[in-house]
Amino acid sequence: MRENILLDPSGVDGCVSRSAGRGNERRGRLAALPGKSWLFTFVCGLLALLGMGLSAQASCVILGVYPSGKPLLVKHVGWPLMVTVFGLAGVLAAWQRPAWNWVRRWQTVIHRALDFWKIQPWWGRVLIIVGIGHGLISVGYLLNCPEDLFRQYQEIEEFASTPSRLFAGQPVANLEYHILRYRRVIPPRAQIAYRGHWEAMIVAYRLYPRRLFLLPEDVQRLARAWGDHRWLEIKTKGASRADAWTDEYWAARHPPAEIPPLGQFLADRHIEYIIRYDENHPELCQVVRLTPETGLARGHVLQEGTQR
Amino acid sequence: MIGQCGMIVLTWLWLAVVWLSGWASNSLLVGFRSRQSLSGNERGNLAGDLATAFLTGVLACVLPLYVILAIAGRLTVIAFSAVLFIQFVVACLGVRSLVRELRHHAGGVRNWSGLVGWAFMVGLLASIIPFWGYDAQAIYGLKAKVLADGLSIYGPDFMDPYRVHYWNNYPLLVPLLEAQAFFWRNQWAVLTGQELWNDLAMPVLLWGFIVALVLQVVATTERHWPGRGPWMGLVFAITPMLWRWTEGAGLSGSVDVVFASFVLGAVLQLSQLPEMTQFRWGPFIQGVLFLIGACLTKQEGAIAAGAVVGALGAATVWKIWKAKEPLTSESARRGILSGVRCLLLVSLFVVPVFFFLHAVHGHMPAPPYSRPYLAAFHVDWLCRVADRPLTVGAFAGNEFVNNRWGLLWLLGTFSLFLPRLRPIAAATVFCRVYFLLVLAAYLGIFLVTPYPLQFHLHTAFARLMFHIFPVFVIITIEQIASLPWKSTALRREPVAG
Repeated sequence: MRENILLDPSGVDGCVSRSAGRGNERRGRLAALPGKSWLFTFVCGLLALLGMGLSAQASCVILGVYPSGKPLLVKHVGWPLMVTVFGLAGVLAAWQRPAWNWVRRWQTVIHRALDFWKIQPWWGRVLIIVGIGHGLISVGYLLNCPEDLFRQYQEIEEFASTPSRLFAGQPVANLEYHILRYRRVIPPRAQIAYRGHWEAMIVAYRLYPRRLFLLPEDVQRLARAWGDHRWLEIKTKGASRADAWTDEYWAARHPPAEIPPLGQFLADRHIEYIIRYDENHPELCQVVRLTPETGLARGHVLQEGTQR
Repeated sequence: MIGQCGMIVLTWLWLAVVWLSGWASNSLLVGFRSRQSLSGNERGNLAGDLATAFLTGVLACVLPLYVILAIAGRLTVIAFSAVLFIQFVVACLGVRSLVRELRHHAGGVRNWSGLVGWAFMVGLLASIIPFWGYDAQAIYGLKAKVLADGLSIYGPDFMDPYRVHYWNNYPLLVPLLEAQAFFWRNQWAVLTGQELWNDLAMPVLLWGFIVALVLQVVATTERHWPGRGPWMGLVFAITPMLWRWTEGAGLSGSVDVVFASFVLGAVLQLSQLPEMTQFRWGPFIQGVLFLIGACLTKQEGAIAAGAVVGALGAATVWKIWKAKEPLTSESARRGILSGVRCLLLVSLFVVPVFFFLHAVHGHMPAPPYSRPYLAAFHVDWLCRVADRPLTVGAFAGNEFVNNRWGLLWLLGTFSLFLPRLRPIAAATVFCRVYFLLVLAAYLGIFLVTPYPLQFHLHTAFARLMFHIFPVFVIITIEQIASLPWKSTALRREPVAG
């Protein structure tokens, strides 16, 4: 006569596998996976070694240790680390006669999971598979996190060191570099007219407590350029250009307000500097200081060296 | 180096004060009981209490400043100091109670090790990054700096349409929170000779909201599925969108995680109302407070409030319909009256918030580059955008299988088609109707948006879905808990005798 007995919360049960060692039998604990566990252990161990090797290679690439020109297997550590973790987990799950308690506990968890899997209907198994998929994707992101962070800081440092870089064969201005330059050149609390694109909003935050203003004509230009972004064109492979008609449509419905004279606009806001930033034309990026005596009164803009 | 480390430590300490003051406020108002047992449900309650404590603490330190701002137009050193002093005093009162509670539960933390480890890792991450998101800097960060600088919201910073200030008329709950952190960090920077307005580790503030979201999921899971709370919480917590720093994600500095946290709190508290036979003020007040928090965080709060009202109505109708009693019966009449009372009370508390927001932000001119949504409800425009449903649908389909959400959208959608063991409760109906109403409203926004569709979809879709994602996770967990799972049993020989 047999009966079904629910596992107790600790997961320790009187059921003992045939492959369990004597020590395990005495302790009444679950032992390693039965059957061809040696093959399973071997495959998992191989996976773990492979993952470790790939992680080491990817780490060398990220840290710049890997010699350039050599063939690359992987560039990121996330998935290789995941393979390592799962390989090790598999090895531990199938290890014969484990000596440590935590390994035995891990084997109990695996046994329970397998038992749970076996008795579930098809939909239960589908849910479990999707849940495991969610875990794998998320853990992949987690393991890749230090690398992503390292690369981001590396990129910021790189962009802050030179005024421009080559992107798809074209020179592109580095905003990070120019922001640092503006902070050096322009005193705090200065009022600035900014001539640029949507990055103006970021520059206003980074340059605070300096105040940024958009010239009226630039505001109207931005109002017609909601869809005009380099990243959007790249992301949509140019499909975003098809939305250009919306900008024209709303511009036609809302004709621009009357633009005040530039001199008056600058004088009203006590603007002392003008920043010009053009991502696509790094050579045009500049900081201009207005001379209070002549420039503001006549609405003239005089250029001055960037270093004060 | 010491200056920067000190700034990070200061931010954590300030966050702890906010949390403790919320705990103490809740202890005084709601009266957390001393727990004698160590059941999973009790631990779930503790998780829920910790989450509501944080949200309450945030509201307690922001609402007074918002009122001062509305009246005086600016925040002074006295205002910042007074709020911190009161919070500190209240926090001191809460320390003993919290320590006692945590010690009481100290024995049952084994299942929580995964969540604690995750929270530690995300906390570490938050400590070493600044605000990197576009909205985080352009919309909320800039406002926070202006407010911390003691400048007026009725001055040119908010009133001059040509001042570079992205969406100057947005609600100020999060900027007020950040302004306090900026203010105290600046004092430290002055003392140590550091650069002012450094935003390194400012995402630590958002860490609190992320943890509050996860704790709410844990608490709700414990209610539906005792013992599984920490695990389901961990499944939710590791979702990349929740803790990454990319645009719109949890640590980016964007306020969507704050909004989602308040909304989830409001939904979970208010969904209890249709379930109850007798009206209780506790969940009602907490729910309404969190809904107010959501309204003061983002303009989408208006949609959330409307959806809550709709969900309350739907849950009441469901309850009466399931009771299978004629509408003329006494219990049906009582149910209708109870539902109407809830609707009226929620409206009574939330509608004044919109008047308040209008009074504070109504005078601020809309940016000249903005486009009016109301003008989009025009036949000419609607005829031109008739082909959008296909584009929006395809984009939504792609987004829901995007890796940044893991596979939770897929998991939830699949589970909803499976047969349940137990009937659907009114609280579940509330959550589902709320989710559907908000989803419909958000999709509707993209159908009529006056902005270029591709731009709007790529910049806003994921962050809007973030608002309802935790509610969807709760719906999913409740559904999975209701499925006819087969329990594990191991065979063994019966003991002789």
